[in-house]
Amino acid sequence: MIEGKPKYTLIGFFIVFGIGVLIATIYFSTSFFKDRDLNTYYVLTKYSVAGLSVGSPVKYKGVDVGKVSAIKIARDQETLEIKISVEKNLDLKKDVIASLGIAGITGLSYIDLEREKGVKAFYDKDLEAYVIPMKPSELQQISNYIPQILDSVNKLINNLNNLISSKNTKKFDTLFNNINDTIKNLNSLIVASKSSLSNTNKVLTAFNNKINELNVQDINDTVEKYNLLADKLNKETKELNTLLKSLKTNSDTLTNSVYPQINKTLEDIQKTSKEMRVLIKHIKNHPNSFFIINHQKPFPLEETK
Amino acid sequence: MKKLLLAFSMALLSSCAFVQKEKTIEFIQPEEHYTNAKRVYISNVSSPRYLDTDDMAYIYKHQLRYFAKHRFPCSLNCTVKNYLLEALPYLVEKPISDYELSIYIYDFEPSFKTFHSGNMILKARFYLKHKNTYKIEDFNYDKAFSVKDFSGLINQENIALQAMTKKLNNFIKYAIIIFKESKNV
Repeated sequence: MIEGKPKYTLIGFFIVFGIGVLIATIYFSTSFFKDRDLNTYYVLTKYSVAGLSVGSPVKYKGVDVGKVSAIKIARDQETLEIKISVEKNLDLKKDVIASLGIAGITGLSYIDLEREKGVKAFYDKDLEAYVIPMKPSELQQISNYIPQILDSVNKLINNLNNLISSKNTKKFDTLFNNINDTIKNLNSLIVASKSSLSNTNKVLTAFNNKINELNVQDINDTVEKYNLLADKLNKETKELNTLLKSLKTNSDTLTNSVYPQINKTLEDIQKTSKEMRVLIKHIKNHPNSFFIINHQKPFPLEETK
Repeated sequence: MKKLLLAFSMALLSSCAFVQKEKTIEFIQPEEHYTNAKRVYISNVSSPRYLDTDDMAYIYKHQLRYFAKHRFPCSLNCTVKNYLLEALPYLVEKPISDYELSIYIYDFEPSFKTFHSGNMILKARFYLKHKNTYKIEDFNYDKAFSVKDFSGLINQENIALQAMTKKLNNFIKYAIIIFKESKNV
């Protein structure tokens, strides 16, 4: 057995290399170091998150930015608390909303983060992290409507069943029979119309012959006379128009100038009649006033100046 | 020729007969004016026939006569009404008020004792009607006067009318208050 002197340098190198490999293994196989560069957020939802599990990716505009760290059911037994770790350089406190994305046909889900203005994450003291609001995914929205749609389809099917019930079938039969009868009647009517048309043609031909036999000269004379009459009527109408215009002018003159004058004259007459009444009264009281200049002597006071 | 002269002289005579010397019109204007919240419709001012003329009456030696050279602008009723309308602007000539006033003048003339002195007499009765209820008051003015000329006499007549207006205004005011009170009761 050969016992040599141990090479401490080599041993030291191996130990250092071993520790390095151990650290590298821990770094690459666990998230111990990585987690230090991540921010923790929570996403709360009451919808099902089937296909989502711890480790599912968190995508921002389709890019992996983190992963689901934990999924818990809250105390109210309805809300799911999804804890996500997202890269530190990404600020998700404002204008960001989460939804459940489905990756292809595998059925695996991921958290999809999108920008949406007006949305704001709130800080939860119990969770000690920001909670990003979550909206139902399109699939979830559709699945919400599915019961309603199924209900409507059921109603439709019931209605169709009612429509094709035996009771209605009899009615349809009667209706079709009536339509058949109507079509038959229409056919006979068309045949009758054809014969009527041929009769009409015959009458028209006879009428044409009669017209041809009529004396065109007489008709022309009559038309000429009517034309003359119409001309005379035209002239008369024009004269009437002129007369009406002059009448209107006269009436305007009457309204604008003569009537006010008449009114004024009437007012004057009224005034005069009033004065006349006073005069008559005076004459009645003093009948001799016309004939005696001074029926009595002035009172001496009247003469005083 | 004789006939022509006769006709001419007749024409001259007749034209002379109808010429009457104009009298001086004496306007009497109120010096004081009174107001009232309510409007009053003055329906009538009347007087005996011998007074209701534009001639100005006077009494001398217990006889009623008319001044020969002076007259009112219109009949006495008209003159007094115009005077009151001016002095009491709340009086209206149209029946737009529930209160209706009518006045009867018994006497309005100077009674001369001498040619320049005597007593001014103005007697009247006021009637105020409100919804078939009447209030009546008499006014008697009889005050001695002594004037130098006719304008002095007109001034005395104005004083008499002014006194009547004041009394009438008070009468209307109190009568309206009484009407209102009786309505509330």
